[in-house]
Amino acid sequence: MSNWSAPQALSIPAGKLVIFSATHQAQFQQQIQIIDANGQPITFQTFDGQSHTFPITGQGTGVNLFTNGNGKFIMQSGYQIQFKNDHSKTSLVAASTVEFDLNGIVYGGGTLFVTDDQGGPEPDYNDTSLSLQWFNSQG
Amino acid sequence: MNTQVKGLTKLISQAALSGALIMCSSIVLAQSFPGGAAITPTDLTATPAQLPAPPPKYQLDDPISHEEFARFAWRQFIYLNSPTKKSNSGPTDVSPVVRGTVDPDASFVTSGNPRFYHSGKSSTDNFSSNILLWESYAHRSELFPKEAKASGNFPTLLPQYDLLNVSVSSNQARFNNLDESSQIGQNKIFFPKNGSTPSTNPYDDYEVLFEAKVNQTEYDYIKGLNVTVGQPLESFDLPNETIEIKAAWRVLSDELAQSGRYHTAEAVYYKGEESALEPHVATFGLIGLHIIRKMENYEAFVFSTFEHVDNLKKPNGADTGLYFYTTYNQLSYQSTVSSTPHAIVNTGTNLVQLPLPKAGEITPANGYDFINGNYTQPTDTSAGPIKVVQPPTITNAVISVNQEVKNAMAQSGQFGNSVWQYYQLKGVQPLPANEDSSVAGKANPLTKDFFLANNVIESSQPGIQLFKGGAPGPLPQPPNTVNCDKPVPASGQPSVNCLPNPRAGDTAANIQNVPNLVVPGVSHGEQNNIVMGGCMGCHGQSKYTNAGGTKSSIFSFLISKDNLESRGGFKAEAFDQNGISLSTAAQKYMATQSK
Repeated sequence: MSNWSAPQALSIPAGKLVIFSATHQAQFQQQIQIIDANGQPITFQTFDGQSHTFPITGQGTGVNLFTNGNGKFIMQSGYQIQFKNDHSKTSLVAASTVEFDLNGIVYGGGTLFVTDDQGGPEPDYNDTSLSLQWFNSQG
Repeated sequence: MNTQVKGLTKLISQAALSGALIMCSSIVLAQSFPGGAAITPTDLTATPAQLPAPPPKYQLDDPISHEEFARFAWRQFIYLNSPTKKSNSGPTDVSPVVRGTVDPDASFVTSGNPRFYHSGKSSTDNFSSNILLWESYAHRSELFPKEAKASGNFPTLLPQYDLLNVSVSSNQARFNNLDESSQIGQNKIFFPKNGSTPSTNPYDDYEVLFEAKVNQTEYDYIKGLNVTVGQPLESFDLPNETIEIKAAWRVLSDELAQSGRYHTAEAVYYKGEESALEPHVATFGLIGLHIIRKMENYEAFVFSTFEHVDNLKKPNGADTGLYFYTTYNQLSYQSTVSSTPHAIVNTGTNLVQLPLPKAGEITPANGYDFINGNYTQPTDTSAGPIKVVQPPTITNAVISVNQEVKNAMAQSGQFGNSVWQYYQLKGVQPLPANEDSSVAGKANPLTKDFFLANNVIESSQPGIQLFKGGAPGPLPQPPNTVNCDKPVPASGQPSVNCLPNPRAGDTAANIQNVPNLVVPGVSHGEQNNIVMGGCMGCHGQSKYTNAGGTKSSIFSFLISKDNLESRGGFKAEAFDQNGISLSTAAQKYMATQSK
């Protein structure tokens, strides 16, 4: 079992609504967790209203959602994200961040993460896919 | 549209919109950067090639793009790899080329001939008259000869090598002197002779050797210094237009030597015990080239590096099997580094978080790509063989400019047989910056190529391939070392060599005379906190403390107190140099005036 990747700060303003969706496409088990400023996994709500706590887990080469692989939470200062797999090597994590900036007003943004568990001869960066999107206003 | 035209268009349109052209005086014009314009066939075939003018000052409101810096780097490569001017036939104690002067009647096309070097060589002279411009530069042992001061008129000087442990006779000297046999003391690197599998003994394979050179600007500056032993200079500031080169060469098989894919040249290299080193001469192939140049507004130098396209993959797509042995068998991070050490790479389109090898022994379990098999370790304290891998550090800007150059070569119709079509830019570092702090944030444009490394000159992770922070060499340590901080064993062979990897601390600190340096998000007053990575970050470790006690980065590992006082020089390294000697060499690389 590999280590968690080093936690990475989320660049989302505190108090904003965040939604996420996570899929897997991997032989090895994949995990994702968001932790608070004290390093503790946070609680989130799936869209059926149920409460859950990170980490979330997924496994299988067919593309599918992680268990409890989509939901929402309110961003707080100090939240960080990290990834893990049950292969022997720490996940490689690639991310691309966007911001919706129209006429000088930021309406929201998001980050798309993909990971590679280094389980194959060449990285394919498709073992985990996580989209994490935030909005400036709710409702 | 080039920067100047773009700036002018913007200016005119702003003025027209305002209806008041008189306001022009209050608007800052974008500065011209011809060196950043798209590479055309004319750039490649110009006779003679021109050294590109320095980039203008980097401005936050109209930043120079990474593509423009990449084109600037390519233009430097074109100039420096053009032929050197031949000298008029004269006395035999004068160089056959005017060192440091580009041939006014030849071009980058000329030097691309696979037989360029050899066609300039006669059977009676050990020097070829066909020499690349950078090859004519002063070797480090000409800049700092053994316990002596550089002297002579640089353009006419015959290469003469007086190293601490060997002198090269005049009939053995060549313009290329491969007196370094390791990657700054940290690794020994080889290409397998048979397929892509290392030989049991690495010295049966094709080794990579190195040399460092400087241009006349630096040579004359050093030559002109008046240094009193034991007294620091009032100031030490390498002049603008200083250029330093580091070149990597490999031994070629007969097949590769005839392939037409390499710039080849004869070079001096060394064999034997350190106390009785023997110079030899053989033909080598150029596989890596660092170019660093200091300019106005770029006092931390602009760093660029080029690689041969076949270093990792053969033309048929098979692995070359390039591998290295470390000269240390333990690694330690300082306590401020997280338990999951990692690097954040900015590719230009996204950020990538790469886990680094773990602290402890250099083993597969700690994250090193060992090649399975039974091998003879080159030293008691080395580890390997480890496969050279390419992390995803190459930026999209550099990839697109390499393609642009390739297209220009094809359009010119004059590079079909040129060796230069087989070299590519790896990356360019124009200014110091801090590593991006999170993979989930917005990238700083200046962190592209933050971890600049050449696959044959800096190959080990995290030692020098994903370098950041401090740069000490392997330290002999007792067994069971945890943090590389134990006293060195009093006698006998060390049980381990430990590589401390701070990855923090001030690297490019106190950059001299940089009032114009602008780094996004970092004020000039905060420059001391920059922890740069890659080539620039490593070179930032080289510092000089002047008579007033001010310590500044000087970005050159060739400068040391002893060298400046004409009491130093360099040791040539045998191609089969052993472990203790390697460790000493690593420490020597990092030994600068202030340490």
